Amino acid sequence: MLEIRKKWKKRRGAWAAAVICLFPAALICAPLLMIPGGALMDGAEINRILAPVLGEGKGFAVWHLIPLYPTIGHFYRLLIESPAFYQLFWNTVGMTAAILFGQLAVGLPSAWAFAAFQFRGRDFLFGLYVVLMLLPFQVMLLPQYIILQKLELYNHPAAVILPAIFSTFPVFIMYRGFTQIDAEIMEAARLDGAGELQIFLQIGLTLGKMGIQSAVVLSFLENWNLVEQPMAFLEEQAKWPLSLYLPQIDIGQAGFAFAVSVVVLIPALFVFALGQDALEEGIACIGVKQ
Amino acid sequence: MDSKKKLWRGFAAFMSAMLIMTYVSRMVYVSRMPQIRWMNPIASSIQKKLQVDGTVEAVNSQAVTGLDGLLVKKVCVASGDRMEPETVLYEVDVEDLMTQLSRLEAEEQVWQGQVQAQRREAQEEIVRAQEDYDISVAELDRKIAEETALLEDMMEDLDTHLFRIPKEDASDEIWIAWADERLRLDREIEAKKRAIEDTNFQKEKILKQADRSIEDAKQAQSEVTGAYAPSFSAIGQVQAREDKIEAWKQLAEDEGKVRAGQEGTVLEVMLQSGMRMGSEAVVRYADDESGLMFSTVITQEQKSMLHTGDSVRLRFPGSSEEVAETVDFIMQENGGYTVKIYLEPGVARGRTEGVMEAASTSEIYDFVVPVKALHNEGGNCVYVLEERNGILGTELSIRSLTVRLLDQNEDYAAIADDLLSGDMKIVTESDRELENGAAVKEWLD
Repeated sequence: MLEIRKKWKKRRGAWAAAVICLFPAALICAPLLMIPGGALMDGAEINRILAPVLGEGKGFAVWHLIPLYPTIGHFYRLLIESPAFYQLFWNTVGMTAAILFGQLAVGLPSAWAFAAFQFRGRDFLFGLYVVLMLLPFQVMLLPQYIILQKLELYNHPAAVILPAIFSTFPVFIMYRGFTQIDAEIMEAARLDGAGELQIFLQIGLTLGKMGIQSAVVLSFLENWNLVEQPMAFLEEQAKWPLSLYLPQIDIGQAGFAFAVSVVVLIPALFVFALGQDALEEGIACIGVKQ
Repeated sequence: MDSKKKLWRGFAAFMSAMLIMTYVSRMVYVSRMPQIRWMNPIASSIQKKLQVDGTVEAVNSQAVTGLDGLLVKKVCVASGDRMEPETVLYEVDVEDLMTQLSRLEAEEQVWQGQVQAQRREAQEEIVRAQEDYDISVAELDRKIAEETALLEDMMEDLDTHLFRIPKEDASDEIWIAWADERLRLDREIEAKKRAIEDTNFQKEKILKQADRSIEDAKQAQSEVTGAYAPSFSAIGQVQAREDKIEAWKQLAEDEGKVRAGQEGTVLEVMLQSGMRMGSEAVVRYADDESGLMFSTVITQEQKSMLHTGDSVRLRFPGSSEEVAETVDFIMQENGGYTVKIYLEPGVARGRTEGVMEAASTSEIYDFVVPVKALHNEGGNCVYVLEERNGILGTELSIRSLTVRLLDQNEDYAAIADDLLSGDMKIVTESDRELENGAAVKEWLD
């Protein structure tokens, strides 16, 4: 009995914290819960529910998690009758893949260089990377626009891909991953006669894998949902990513918009699930003080 | 690790499904897309061809009236037939004809009997009136003679009295008595004269009445005998009956065959076997002396293509005859326009129907498109084919362009608008209904 009381006293705080966090957690998750229900909801039902929100009714909008008149009509329309959706889907896939490959090609050596080598100006350069990482997109918009115009890349997918490839955030994440590698291991490899490229490929990529994966997952999620860059630099709709498809749908087609949201979420969920472990470890690395 | 593999497989399956559905949705999208054909508008004139059916009519048509009350046994001619003198037009039922003839003759006999009786009565009436006249004249003459004799006596009495005038020295009483007597005699004479005048006046009055009675009697007699005509209708009826009897007798002798009186072309036959005729026309025909004319009715729209004096071609179904004629006049009536064309002698003999063909060429218009390209969306419009950049890339789409319709025929329309140009691609044909802004694909022949 005494044991039970001691255990309860120990866990009491944890339970209290859980209960306190439950409410904000529910609030945060609520929009996510609306998506599957809304995607299966009849258009008339959605319009009736959203009438107070749209200023066409009185009182509050009361959402039904389970639709009264479930339908797959929105999915049918999206998947069968909306070729534009697929056009933008594959645009997004292409853009995101190009950005990720580019970031790995450019960011990996950069991050390794910062982590593995001591050279003059290293701290200044890394500080510059951090500053660039902190700059919001709006600050960079005009310079980027001018440069892209000069390079005649405006209204070209490269206008979105190239600036993203040279993003400093993945470098920072991967750098933090590489810094977790014990310096003695690399020293031992050098003593054994391993070259720098061999050390990078065999030790750096192997031991810094979690940081790399973490950077890839975070970069994927960021670039899968790019809105401002394509909106600013891509004029032709045919080159837009999927993130600009949803704003094209008016409020009268809310059910269709929910269906789009569901399908758009699927790749992101897959990537998140595949890289969840690495993401947690990579984020943990960021917090470790050198 | 297995779960990671499953996730990778799931992700691959999802992407594969998305790839397949990309093609499927494209195919569905394209299958619902209207297929169109297009052309650039051309500068051209509009050829208008007018073709209308009409009838061949006689300028002055003649009519054969029916034999009132007789039964048609057989109709021997039809519209368009030529007829010569003595051509049998139709036959009447002879048995019925004989029955009708007997009835008519019986009516005639009854009527003749009635006339004889009425004549006798009228003659007697005249005699009686004359006797009354004579008696009245004799009576009044006798009365006047008596009154005149009395007047003469009174005149003698007055002369005698004047002769017996008193002497100058006679007394006043004598003179007064003499004067009174004279005054009495004068008054009586005057009264008698007035009586004679009254009798004369009465005589004249009675004689006039007697004369009128005689005249009435004579008039009644005349009506019966037909000496003069106070009632033409009565005489006409008698004459008509007599003529009818005569004609029917001749018809009976010719076995009920009704023959044409002159040569011509039968225009219309309003007879059927077994029908009993009235007195209206039963056959209408055009004699060869009066010409034929082509008549038709055109609409307001067609009127713009045809004017008086225009040359037209006429064809007559069932024959190879085709002639060029001139429109003689166009007259507006009954919401349309009646066109009359007088035909040359010998043209369309034996024809009752024809087809008129006329052609006209307009001025040259800048933009002419097929009529099929013209649509009506609250006004005339055409669909212009354009390239449009959308989510699916560069697509063909159509845009509605409102135009003014200047002229048209069955195949082409002349249009105008400030925005029109010769290099515009005008949609001329589609396999389904078009909407402004719709994506389309070109027809694959």
